[in-house]
Amino acid sequence: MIKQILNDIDQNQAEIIAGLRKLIEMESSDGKATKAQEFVLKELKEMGFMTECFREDERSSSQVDYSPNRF
Amino acid sequence: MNEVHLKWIIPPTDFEYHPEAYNVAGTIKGKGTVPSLMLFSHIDTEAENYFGKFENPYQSTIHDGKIIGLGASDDKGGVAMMLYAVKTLLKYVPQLPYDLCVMSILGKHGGGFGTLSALMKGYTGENSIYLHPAETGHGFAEIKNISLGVVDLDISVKGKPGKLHDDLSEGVNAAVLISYLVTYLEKYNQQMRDKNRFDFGSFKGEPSFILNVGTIEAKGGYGGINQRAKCCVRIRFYKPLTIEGVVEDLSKYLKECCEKEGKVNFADVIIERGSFRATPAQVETEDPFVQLIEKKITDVTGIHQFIHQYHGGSDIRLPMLYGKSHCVGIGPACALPQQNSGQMEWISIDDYINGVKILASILFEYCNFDQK
Repeated sequence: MIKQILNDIDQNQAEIIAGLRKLIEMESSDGKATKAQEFVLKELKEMGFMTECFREDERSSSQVDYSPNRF
Repeated sequence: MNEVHLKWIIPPTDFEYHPEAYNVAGTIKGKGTVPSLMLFSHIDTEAENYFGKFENPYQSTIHDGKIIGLGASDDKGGVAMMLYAVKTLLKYVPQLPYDLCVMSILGKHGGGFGTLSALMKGYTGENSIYLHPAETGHGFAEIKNISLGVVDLDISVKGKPGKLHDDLSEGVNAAVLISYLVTYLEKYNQQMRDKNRFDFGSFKGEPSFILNVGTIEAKGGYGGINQRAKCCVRIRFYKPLTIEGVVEDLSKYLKECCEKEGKVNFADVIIERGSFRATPAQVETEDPFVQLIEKKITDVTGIHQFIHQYHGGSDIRLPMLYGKSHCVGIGPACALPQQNSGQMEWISIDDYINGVKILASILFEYCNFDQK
């Protein structure tokens, strides 16, 4: 089956390349990622994923990632 | 530690996301006969004008076997690889034996707003892959399995005004004092690099400690005596060193230097927390999950020799530290503007397609994965 999977990817190269180009053309610098995320969200939903969108500004790595004795 | 000199200030706010930006996580429940798996990469890019070279950053072009555009490699290429690999796999294996989590996250601020937030919400996998290009340019020959600890520090020193603004007979110029401190920092760096070396892996014998003075700041103009000068320092380190231990040790060293040399009064030195800190983490190269990834890369690309690479504060640390996950970073050949003389960001089309194949192969083979 792995050969079929790899062959499938080869057959769909044009779509895979177009998909990345589409993502690039969706503005997402300076912390804006909304349009590109909408694309990702739609794709995941179509594949049958349970999805969640979230944002937690109160937590930054500076606050949490400081546990010298914990690990 | 001298509490007067070491002030941990409130978290810095040097980066803010657009109010509407958000993370996306998707999960598929499997049969549960194989350990869970998580894939993640970041959707946001560098700022449009970060490198000042993009005439139209949101235009993608194809040239010389490359897809060129802002985010091509960092890290929309990673997001696209995840989507197309998973999509292909699910066509052939609609009912997975493992729980699969796929995340497109916000990557800035050391993963604090993205990967870390997701982990704190409970998203993880017993094994995980961070799809991100190798910043070193190694492409799929690089297995990112070590995340060095990081601590950023702002070290400042107070000067003393003279009777007149340029009176050096009574005044003390902080710009001169900071130059002494930078000399001490360089000595400390050398001492720590001699003492701390990797005792395993691709970088065995090389220093596992890096202290970099990124900025020296004093604003006295040409003739003024600076009453305060600052340098910004990033320290990267590996176990058994810890963030707290490194800061304590450095503080002690600077105090000793100041007292011994007599040029700077340590009471005038202030060490404050900078913008980033990260705890070191690592997954062993002998880990069965690492072995599986390497095997699939070899199958697709023919690469046999791997570089087990360290990075400073990589997102791979977060699933390891907070999600109990074996996490590895892999990615295609690409160029980031900072490694490409400020020129365009690109991703190799062949390697991008190979990346989808590698990931799909891993996802497929993982259906029979045995962690032992």
